[in-house]
Amino acid sequence: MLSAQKRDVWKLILLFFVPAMFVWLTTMVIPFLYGIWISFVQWDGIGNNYEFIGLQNYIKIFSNAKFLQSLGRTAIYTIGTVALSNVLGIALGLLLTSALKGRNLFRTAIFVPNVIGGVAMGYIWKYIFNYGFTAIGISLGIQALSTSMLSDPTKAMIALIIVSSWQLSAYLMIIYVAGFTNVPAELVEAARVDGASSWSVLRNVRLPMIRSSLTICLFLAIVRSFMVFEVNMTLTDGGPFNTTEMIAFRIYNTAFVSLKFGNAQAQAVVLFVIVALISVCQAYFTSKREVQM
Amino acid sequence: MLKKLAALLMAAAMLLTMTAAGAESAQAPVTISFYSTQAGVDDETIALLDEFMAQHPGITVNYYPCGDDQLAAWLALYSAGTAPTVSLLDVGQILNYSDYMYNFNQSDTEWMSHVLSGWEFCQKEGSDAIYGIPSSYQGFALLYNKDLVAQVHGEDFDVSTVNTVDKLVAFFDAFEAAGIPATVVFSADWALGSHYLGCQLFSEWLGDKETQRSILKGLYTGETKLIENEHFNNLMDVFDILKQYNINDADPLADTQEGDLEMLATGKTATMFQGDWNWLQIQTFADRDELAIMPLPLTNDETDPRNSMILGSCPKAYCVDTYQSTPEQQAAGVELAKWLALSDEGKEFMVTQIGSTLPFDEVNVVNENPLAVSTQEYLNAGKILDISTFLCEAPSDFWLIIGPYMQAYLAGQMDRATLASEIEAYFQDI
Amino acid sequence: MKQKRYAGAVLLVLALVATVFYLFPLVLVAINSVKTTGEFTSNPFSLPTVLQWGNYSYAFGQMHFLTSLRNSLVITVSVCVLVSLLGAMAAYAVSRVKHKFVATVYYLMLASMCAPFQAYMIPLVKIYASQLGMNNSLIPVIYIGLGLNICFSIFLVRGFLNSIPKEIDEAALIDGCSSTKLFFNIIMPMLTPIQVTLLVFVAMGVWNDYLLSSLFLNTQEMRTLPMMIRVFCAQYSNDYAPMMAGLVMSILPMLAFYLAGQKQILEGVVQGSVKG
Repeated sequence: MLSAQKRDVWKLILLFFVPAMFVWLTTMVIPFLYGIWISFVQWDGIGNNYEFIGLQNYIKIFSNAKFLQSLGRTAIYTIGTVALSNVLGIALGLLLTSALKGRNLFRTAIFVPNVIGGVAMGYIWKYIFNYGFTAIGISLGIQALSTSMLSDPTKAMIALIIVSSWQLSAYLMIIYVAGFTNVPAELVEAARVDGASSWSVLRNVRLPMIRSSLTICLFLAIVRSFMVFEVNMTLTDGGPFNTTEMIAFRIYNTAFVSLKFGNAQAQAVVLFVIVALISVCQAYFTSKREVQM
Repeated sequence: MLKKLAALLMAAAMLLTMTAAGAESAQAPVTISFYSTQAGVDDETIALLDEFMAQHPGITVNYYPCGDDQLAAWLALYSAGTAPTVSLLDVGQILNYSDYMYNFNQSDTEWMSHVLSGWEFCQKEGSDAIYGIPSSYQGFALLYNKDLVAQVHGEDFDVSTVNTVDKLVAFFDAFEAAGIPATVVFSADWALGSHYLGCQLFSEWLGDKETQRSILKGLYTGETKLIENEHFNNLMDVFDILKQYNINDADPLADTQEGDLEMLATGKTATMFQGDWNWLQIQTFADRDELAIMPLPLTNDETDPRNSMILGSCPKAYCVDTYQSTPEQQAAGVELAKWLALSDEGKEFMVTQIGSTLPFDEVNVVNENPLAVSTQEYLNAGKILDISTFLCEAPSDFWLIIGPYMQAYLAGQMDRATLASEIEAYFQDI
Repeated sequence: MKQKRYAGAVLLVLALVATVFYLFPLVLVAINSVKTTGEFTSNPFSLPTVLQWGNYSYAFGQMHFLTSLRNSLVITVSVCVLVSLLGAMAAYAVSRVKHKFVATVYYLMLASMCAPFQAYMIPLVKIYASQLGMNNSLIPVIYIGLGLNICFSIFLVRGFLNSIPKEIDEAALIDGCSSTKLFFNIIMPMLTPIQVTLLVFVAMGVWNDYLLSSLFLNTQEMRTLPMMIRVFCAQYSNDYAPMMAGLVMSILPMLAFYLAGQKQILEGVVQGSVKG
C-alpha cells in the first residue's frame, strides 16, 4: 500500500509537475542565469566580445546616486499603487457583489478599459492630464488644477499612481468579486442577527474571509508595480526632469539608449532580488494567516 | 473532458501549422534583408523593395520593419543570428557598431562625388573608412507662421533681417504687442537635450570638424568649463529669450509635440524651434497656415555668418552588415544600399514619402514639403552649420541624461551654473 | 423598507461614478476614432463635427488587420489552452503532493515571477532564435508566452485546489480510479471558474504583448495587432485618429471573450466554489 502510494506520488510529479517545470526552466531559469552572467561582463550587444569584469557593474550601480534614487522612488510608487489599487479593488468588489441593480453591466463596464494595453492608455491619460484637467481648472479658476499634474514632480508621481491603480484595480476587482461572492451568506446573516453593525460585519466577517484573494492581489500588485514600464514610458516618460523614472524603465534605457548592457543586467538582477524577497515573504506570511475552510 | 482537450489541442496545432507554412520563401541566388527605422511607411517601403527586386533578378530582399523601439528590435535580429544585411539607422548608431559594418570607401566610390559635401559621410575620427551612405538631409531652425509674420510685420518683411539677438527680441515683441504669443518651446527631453542644446553646442565652429570636436574632447578631459564658455552662454541667453516668450510659460512642461505644432500651424503662436521634418505631423491638420524656416540668431553681431545659417545634417544612413552576412550577401547589400540612396526610385521615395531633402547634387523630384525646400535652399547656398559631429560622435544617451536638466532649467528649477556643472559631470561619469 | 431603497440609490450612484471614472478614457478613444487627427490634437474632448468612418477602413488596411488578427489569435488561443492545461496539472501536483522537491520548486517559481522581463529578453533571443533557429515564427512566442504565464497559473489554481476537500480524491482513489482519471474527470471540471478567471488575465496579457512579439516576429506578415498599431507612429509624427480606430477594432475580440468568460465566472460563483 505504502509503496503504491509512493509510486503514485512520483507519477503525479513526473506526469503533472515536470512538464510545467520544464517549460519554466527553459523559458525563465536558463535565460535568467544567462542574464546574470551578462551582469558580470562588458558587452556591446552584438558580438562575442564579452569582457569579464567581475563585480564592476554592481559596484558601479551602487555608487550611482541615480540608480538608488530610482529604486527609492519605485518603492514609494509601489507602496502608493499597491495600497490604492487594493483599496479600490476591494471597494469595487464590495460594490459589485452588493444588491446593486444591473451589476453585471457595471462589472463589464469597469473592466473593459483594461482590454486596451498600457501603451495606448498612457497616451490617453497624458492628454487628460495635460489638456483635460487643466481646462477644467482654468475655467473654474482653481489654481491647483490649472497647471498639469505631470509638470510637477510630486504630482506627476501621484498621477502615475492614479493611472496605474486605475488599471490595476479593475484587474484585482475580478478576484475580489470572486472572493466576496464566496463568503457564505449564513455567516453574514448570523453576525447581523447578533446585532453587528454593517461596518463590524465587514471588518470581522467579510474581510477575514477574503484573505486568500488578498494574498493573490497583494502579490500581483507588488510584482506589477515594481516592474512598471509601459505607463511610465507613455504617461510621464520619466519626467518632469527625470523625477519619475522607475527602475524597469531605467533598465531599459541603460541597455537600449546608453548601450550599457552589463550594467543594465546588473540593475535587473538587483531589482529581482529585492522584489523576490518582498513578494515571496508577503505571499508566505499572508497565506499562513488565511482562514482555512 | 479528455476529448474536448484533445480537440482543443488539435485546433491549436492546426493553427500553428497554418502559420508555419507562411514562412517559406522562393529559392533565389541570394537572399538579403533590409531593416528600416523609417517607421510608418511599411507598405510603401515594401513596394520600393519590390521595384528593386524587379530590376535585380537574383536578389531577394526581406523587409524588417522597426517598432518604436528601433534599437531593441535591431539588436534582437543580431542576437538571433539573422542580422539585417542593409539597415537604415541613425548615423550615431552606425558608428557605435562600426566594427560590424561594411566600409564603402574601398570599391566603387563614384557615388561620393554626388554628395553635396564631405560632412555627410559616416566616418570615425582618424580613419578614412565610410560606414554609411546618407539617406536624407534635415534642417533644424526656427519655424515660423508666414501669415502671422505678414500680418504683424507686413507683407514685405524679410526674415533674414532678423540676424541679431536684439532683432530677434524686437521681432518677438511685435507679436506680443499684437496679442500673439511669439513662440512655443517644445519640452520633450530629446527636443531640448539633443535638438536645442546638443546640436547647437557642438556646431559652434564653422567649417572645421577638428574644432567642433575640441569642445567634445574638452568635456571628456574635463578641461572645458561650460559656464565660462561664450558659445554655451550665448545659447542659454537665447534659450532664456525663448523661455520668456513661450506661450506655455505658465506650465512649460505640459505640452505635446502635436499640440505645439498645432498652435504654430493654426496661428496661435508665431514661431517654434524645431525642424523641417515636422511637416509630416503638420500635414495631419486639416486647417493650417503656411510655414517656413529662418535662422535662430545667437549673437549681436550682424556680420556673424552663423546668424544667417540654419543647422543641418544627414540624420540617417544605409549601412551593410559584415558580421553575419556572407560576401555574396554583402555585395548584394551594397547594391541595395546604393540603389535605395541614389536611384531615382529611392530618391523619389525619400522625397515624397518622408518629405525629406536629399544631400545629393542630382535630385529631380519636386518636394511637397515647403520646409524641406527651404532647407534645400540653405544647403545649396552653403548656409548650413553642420551638426554631424554631435550626431556621430556624442554619446548615444546625451539627450536622455541632459534633456531632463534642460527641462528643469526651462521650468525654473535649475540655474545655468548647475546645468553647466551637471553636463560636465555627465561627461566625467562615462 | 425606505432605508433599503435609499441604500440602493446610494449604491447605484457609487456604481455610476465608478463607471465614469473607469470608462471615461475608453469613451475618449471611441469618440476620437471618428474624428480627424487635427481635431483630436486641437481638442481631444470635443465631439466630431463630421463622423470620419473612413478612419476605420484606413486602419483596417494599414494594419493588415486580418493577417495581424490571425497572428494575435493563434498566439493568444495557443497560450491560453496550454497554460490552462499544464498549469492546472502542475497546480494539482503542488496541492496534493507533500514532497520537498515540489514545494521548493514551487517557491522558486513564485520568486521567478519577480524577474523583470528585460533581464532575460536578450538571452531568450540568443537561445531560441540563434541556437534553435526559431526566428520569425509564432512558435517561440507561444512557447515563451506559456513560460511567462505558467507560474502565475500554478499560483492561482493551487489556491483554489487547496479548498477542494481531499476527501473527494480519496473517495475516488479508493473506488479504484487512477490519479490521471481522477484529475481529468473529476478535478478538472471543478476548476472551470478559476480557469476562466485565469484565462481572462492571461489572454489580456498575451493579447496586448508587444515586447516579446517584437523580438521574434520580424516580417510584416508575422506581426500581431499591438505591433501593427504602431504603423501610425513615425519618428516625428503620429496619426492618432486611425490609431484609435485600430485600437477599437483590436479590443473587440477580447471584449467578446471577456463577456463570455464573465458569464462562466458567474455560473461558477453560483455553484459556490470560487475561492480566488
